[in-house]
Amino acid sequence: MKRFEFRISNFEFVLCLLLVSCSAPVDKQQPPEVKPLGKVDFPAYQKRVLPNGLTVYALEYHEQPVVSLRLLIKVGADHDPAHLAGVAAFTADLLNKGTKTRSATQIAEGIDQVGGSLEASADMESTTLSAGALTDSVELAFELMTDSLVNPAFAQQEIMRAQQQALSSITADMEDPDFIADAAFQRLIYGPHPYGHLENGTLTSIPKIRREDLIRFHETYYAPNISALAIVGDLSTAEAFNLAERWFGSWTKKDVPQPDTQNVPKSEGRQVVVIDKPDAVQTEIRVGQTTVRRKDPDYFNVLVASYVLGGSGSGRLNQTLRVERGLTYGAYATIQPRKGPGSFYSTTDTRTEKTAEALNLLLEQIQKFREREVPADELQNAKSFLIGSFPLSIEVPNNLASRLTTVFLYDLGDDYLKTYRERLATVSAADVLRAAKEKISPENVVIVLVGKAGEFTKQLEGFGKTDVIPISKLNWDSPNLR
Amino acid sequence: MRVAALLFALLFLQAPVSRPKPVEYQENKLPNGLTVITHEDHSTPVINLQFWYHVGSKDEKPGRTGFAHLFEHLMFKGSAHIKPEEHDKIITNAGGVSNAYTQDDVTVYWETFPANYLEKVLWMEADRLATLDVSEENFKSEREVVKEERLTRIENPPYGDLFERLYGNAYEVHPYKHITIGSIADLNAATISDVREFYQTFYVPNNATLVAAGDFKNDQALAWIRKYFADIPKGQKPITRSDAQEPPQKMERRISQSKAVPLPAYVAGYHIPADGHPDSYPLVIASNILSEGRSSRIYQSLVYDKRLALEANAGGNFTEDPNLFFSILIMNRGASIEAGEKALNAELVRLAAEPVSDKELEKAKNKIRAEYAFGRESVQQKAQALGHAAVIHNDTASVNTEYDLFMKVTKEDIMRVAKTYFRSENRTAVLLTPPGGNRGRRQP
Repeated sequence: MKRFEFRISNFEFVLCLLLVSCSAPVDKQQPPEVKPLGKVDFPAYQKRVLPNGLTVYALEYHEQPVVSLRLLIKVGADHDPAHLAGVAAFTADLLNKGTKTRSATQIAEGIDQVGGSLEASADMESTTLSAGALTDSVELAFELMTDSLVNPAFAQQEIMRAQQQALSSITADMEDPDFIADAAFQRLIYGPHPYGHLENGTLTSIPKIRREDLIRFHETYYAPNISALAIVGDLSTAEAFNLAERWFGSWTKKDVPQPDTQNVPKSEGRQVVVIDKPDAVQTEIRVGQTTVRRKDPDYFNVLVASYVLGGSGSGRLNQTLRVERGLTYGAYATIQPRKGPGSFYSTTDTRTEKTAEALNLLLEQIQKFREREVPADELQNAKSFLIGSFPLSIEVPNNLASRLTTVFLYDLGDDYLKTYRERLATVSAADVLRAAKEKISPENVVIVLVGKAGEFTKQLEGFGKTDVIPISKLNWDSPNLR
Repeated sequence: MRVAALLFALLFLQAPVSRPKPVEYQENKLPNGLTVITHEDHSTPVINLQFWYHVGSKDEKPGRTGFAHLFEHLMFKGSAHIKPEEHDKIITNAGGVSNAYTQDDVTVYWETFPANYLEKVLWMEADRLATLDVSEENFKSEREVVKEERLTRIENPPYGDLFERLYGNAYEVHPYKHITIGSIADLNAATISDVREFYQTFYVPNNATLVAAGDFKNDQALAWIRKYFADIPKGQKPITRSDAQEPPQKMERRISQSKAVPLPAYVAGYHIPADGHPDSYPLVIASNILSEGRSSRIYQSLVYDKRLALEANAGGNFTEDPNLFFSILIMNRGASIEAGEKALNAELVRLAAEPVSDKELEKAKNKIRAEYAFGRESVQQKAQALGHAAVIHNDTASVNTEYDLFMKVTKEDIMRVAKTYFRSENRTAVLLTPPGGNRGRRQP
């Protein structure tokens, strides 16, 4: 059992010296002084754009004889056809399930035989193919990744198999209170906009997906000019670019329609939705609204706000709900970034009888946040975490690859990884308060409660208009779940 | 282009087979019994520090299940110079991450932080080892948090109690019978005097191993470790552990229960030997052949060909005392759990009946090779591997020497362990079925 679970894997020098304790008494009363850390830079990498428009990042890492590949395409569930949630995820899922020249099993056997991995998935705004291999088999990883990317067969048998898997998986999700709370919250704040789609589809949308939908999606949106490949590992930069050009160079460029990130509804008024799960022993709570775009200059202010409110176990929400009251195993606040308006929300769970008490405390903390400036020491702590955690985020190849492709996804600019710490450092208490007043409110929020409704809905009087929906009656294809 | 590709491929063919790099380390013991393991890695200015206390839920006294884990939470509730909850604050304000976990055999406290904080973190860890100070009020409020954790992990999620049911039935006398989180009744029965006794018995330097991996100079790190830990006295109380021996299981145990789960689930546990036993290596290779990757036998049979299962896995839980080898199924909508159980068991029996192919054996070993390489990239992964070798194996060198034991596994070894352990009399199976059966429509 871990203490926190955040939602948001023969040289011996055994010198058995008998060490003697120090003769002089040690002062343990005072904490030792911490000297400043030298300047830490993102490891050197090279970026090149191939003639077909594919952006390639190459970064050398020789700690172990391994290579990580990560290809990000700027297309996700935000491009799902209306009423056909899940097409982007489904298309990605089928990439490594057979190509023009290889069956699904041949692909699996090929990559497994060398101890490697090859996965593909889509989320809201991107599709990602990732592969890992020992250096001795990196060539095969490139070969299987590009074949899956460019030549997927979308065989009818594989589509049916994937549909059955998806339906079983969604059936299981639909009984998981944590999943339901997250999905319902996103659905409600975004209304009809694709950002509210369930990324993996619904029990009604999945059976409607046809082979033509997948072929069309792949032909329309998979293109090198909206994609970036990060190669991080035990290869020279020159070798990495050679491999990229050889395997990805013939992928054809095309014009790709852009998603609508403009017409996203704003949260207005308070909406309380209770999803009744009669066998629940806890209530899952989500409170929040839409917020700034990832590229908005206010993003850093809202980020600091979310950190102070609930970015860690030391945040205000966890201190109040867990440490002071013992109401929950954890209470956090988080930003889900999007190219368009993202979301800002708080999350916790508590035993059924404490539902109203926990919700009240949560709303109180959000309200307080808007009333006065964050004290200097709290602000400093938040900034020092956000800035200080940089070295931890650049340690292993996967994280390095992911940081590079994220910069590409949100179009943050080549100097972003160099400058964002300085930008964070300039955030002031007044900036945070202004952003909180504009972007965070206990009034214009969606509140989702998943639990045993009969035992707590009466306590909710005064929280606003409450809609109770039995879990069996949820309509995930409708923006209001009805 | 094609010729170039061929030439390039030839170059790679000639490249030697990649072998994971070993983890170099130093091991020292202070006079008070504290074991110290250090690994220098200057690639990024970060350090991971882990404190392994050799006490877990198997060391709890009767009527106090869940106590080792509750105690883990209390280690964040303040000591002589650190206020309650301040430990995490100091680490996170530095940009670091701090957490802890409790298992059957050990309780591990760890933090990853920028390299300039090493001395301060050592000072903090020494403070709570020597002077933990938990108030009655903090004890009671943290107990509520732990009860809430039980609801979050075990009681509210649909399949949360599957393993509690399995262990409760697979074991008769060994303390692995209860899962780490314990029962609400036992948590309620715990007192602050239990806290003191547990602390004085198990949280002593001679029952702890400090592992540090990362960007430091070894001499400097050892000097600080001596400075803050050398004068903490050895424990005065004898460390007593349960010597319960689980009697061999003679008959299959089968528990069929009706529960409101979305899809039927099946989990079986076979008694196997402890971590580090010679048979544990062929069992790991066997689990790779059974369920590692989409080309594995169980995936191919149950998920791909027969389309019976949403998820199907097999693998051993290797711990200090003998534990279980699992096989697990979550059924597809409309699929029969009996058919799933039959197909799953057939794969285990097949391993005992016929040798695996050369290619499968090579594939399983390549997976180990990759796991060693990908699993030892970060300082946290390396410290974790060192701590496990030192405490669970009581042989730090095994962090590197085990690799060759995996590579030496033969087809005959796999058949032998499959015959020895994958027997129905040695199995405990738990079946969870929704009240109305598996009603989901079977898809085309």
